[in-house]
Amino acid sequence: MAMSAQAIEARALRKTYDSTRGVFRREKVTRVALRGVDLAIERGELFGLLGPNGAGKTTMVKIFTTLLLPTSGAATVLGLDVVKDEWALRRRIGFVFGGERGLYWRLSGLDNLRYFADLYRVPPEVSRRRIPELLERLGLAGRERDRVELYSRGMKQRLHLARGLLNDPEVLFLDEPTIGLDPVGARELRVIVRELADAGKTIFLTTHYMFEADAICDRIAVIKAGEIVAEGTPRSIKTLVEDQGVVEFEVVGLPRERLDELRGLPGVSSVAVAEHELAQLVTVHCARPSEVMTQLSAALDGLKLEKLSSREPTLEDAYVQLIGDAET
Amino acid sequence: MGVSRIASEVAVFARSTYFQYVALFQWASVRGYVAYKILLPVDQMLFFVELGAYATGPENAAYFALGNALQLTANAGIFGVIATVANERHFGTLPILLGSPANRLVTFMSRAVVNVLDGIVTVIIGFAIAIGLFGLDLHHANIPLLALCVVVVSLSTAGLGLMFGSIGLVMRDAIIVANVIYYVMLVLCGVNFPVSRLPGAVQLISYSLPLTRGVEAAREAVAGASFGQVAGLLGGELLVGLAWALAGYALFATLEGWARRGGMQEAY
Ligand SMILES: Nc1ncnc2c1ncn2[C@@H]1O[C@H](COP(=O)(O)OP(=O)(O)O)[C@@H](O)[C@H]1O
Ligand SMILES: [Mg+2]
Repeated sequence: MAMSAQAIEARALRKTYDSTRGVFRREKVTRVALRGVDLAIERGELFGLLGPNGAGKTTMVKIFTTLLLPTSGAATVLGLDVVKDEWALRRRIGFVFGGERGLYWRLSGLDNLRYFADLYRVPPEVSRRRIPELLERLGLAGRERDRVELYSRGMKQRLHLARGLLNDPEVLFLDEPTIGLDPVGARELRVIVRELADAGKTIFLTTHYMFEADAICDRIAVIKAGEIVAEGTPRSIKTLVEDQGVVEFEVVGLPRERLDELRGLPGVSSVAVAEHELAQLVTVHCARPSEVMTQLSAALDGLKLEKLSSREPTLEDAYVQLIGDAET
Repeated sequence: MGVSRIASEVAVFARSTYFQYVALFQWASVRGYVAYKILLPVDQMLFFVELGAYATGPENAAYFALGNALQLTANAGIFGVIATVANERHFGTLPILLGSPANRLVTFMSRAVVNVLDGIVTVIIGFAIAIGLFGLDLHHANIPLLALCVVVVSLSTAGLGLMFGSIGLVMRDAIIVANVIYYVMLVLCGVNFPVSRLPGAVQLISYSLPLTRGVEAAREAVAGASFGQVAGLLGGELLVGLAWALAGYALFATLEGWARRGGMQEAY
């Protein structure tokens, strides 16, 4: 097989979990976590995998990081097969799972990093230099000798990230890294992640916050129940719902022919009217709300419009449309 | 394997041992440590020595005291190793270990070292109690040989502990199984009465457990035996411990493969 030029590649990747249910009459339950996923991520990309809980994000990260074997299909990272080349691969990647687990709370942050540097076979002369650099970069310098149990949630997560960077990985996997962080902590982390990507690292990030993916990712795939349902730049995904902009206003005594005129405006996909006490509440779904707004006064000349408002389509609208009611 | 490679494995081993030590032995209070390290052994020894002396005569108190002092290694060797692994589960660090390129055998074995050292300390405390409270007499003893016995027994019980450590990766209640084994060892390993009095089939179990040969060797060392006289026993004791450790490692390797196929949700 020719070496893949991609940083990460998945072909028809499938994963099912078998478990047993019941105590007396044991029943085998098979749950499909990934249903034939195809993905290709280039070197240097900050790629976001966006999806609700249970969509299969963690499963995918575990497969790419050699922690889990796929049921069928193939995956390579840096051209290395995640099933067969696991030892070579583990030296060249890093991973961080969200949440507080995965650190020795009774040890200092510094001792945690020293220990994990050993596990990752980082030569001592390299780790002596790299650990202080990472502490500095992640804003932990000065607190490195405190025990981890004294760290804030955000500090723990930054320590996790430092740990994931100890072997200077070419590809970094971050599974919901901002989960449980307060907005400020989450934002700090996103800034750091973006900086790492700008410095050339390939980053595979999972999240269930669309604004997070929108804010920092170069490219996004949306996963739903183990299937990729959309893929592209945040902007291109927004265009999937570009007819979902909204203009709303109240008006008194709107004649029917004026409504048809509204429907004829460019970019308008639908117009709905609801009786609202004496007035009518009009909702216009359209591609470019600002354009519709400027043409509104001409189309409805002479009528008094109240409570006029508009909203551009957001990635959230796109996400909600793609995911449907999966997130319940 | 180059020299630098070996040096790096040694460094990993030493450091992870040190961290296991820090992670494990930062007791919340001095009182807690004293209770655990002194009161518990005194309690156990009192119970069995009094019971034994009552049943067989006060002249035998030293016999029970010596056996129970050595049995204390099982405390460190078995429960210590389980606690180390439980720690790993508690802190959720196992996936990081499994996703790392670390040498598994080295990291696995390093989990036992601290507990071997702790076992040795525990036995010394046990001996002090045996001498002070129960009249254990070491005047004729071959002290260096007795010390060697203590080291060997600490190693071999930690070997069995590694087996339970692996079981503990998948079984939350490994500690219960370990408790049962602990009491089985009190009965079967010549701690409180000679193995020779057990039925033949049961003796087979005795000799496949650590402690049995070590206790026998230690009793002879107390009576003044030379190294040559107990070398066979000590060699056997070491082999039994090594066999358990390797079985534990094999189980660990098996579990790692199983985890990769999607099992072991618990530890993840
Ligand atoms: N070890 C496991 N055993 C059985 N089912 C699992 C296991 N891990 C995950 N699953 C199931 O696989 C699906 C995907 O889970 P996961 O990859 O954790 O999703 P996400 O990270 O997107 O929340 C879910 O339905 C989940 O219940
Ligand atoms: Mg997840």
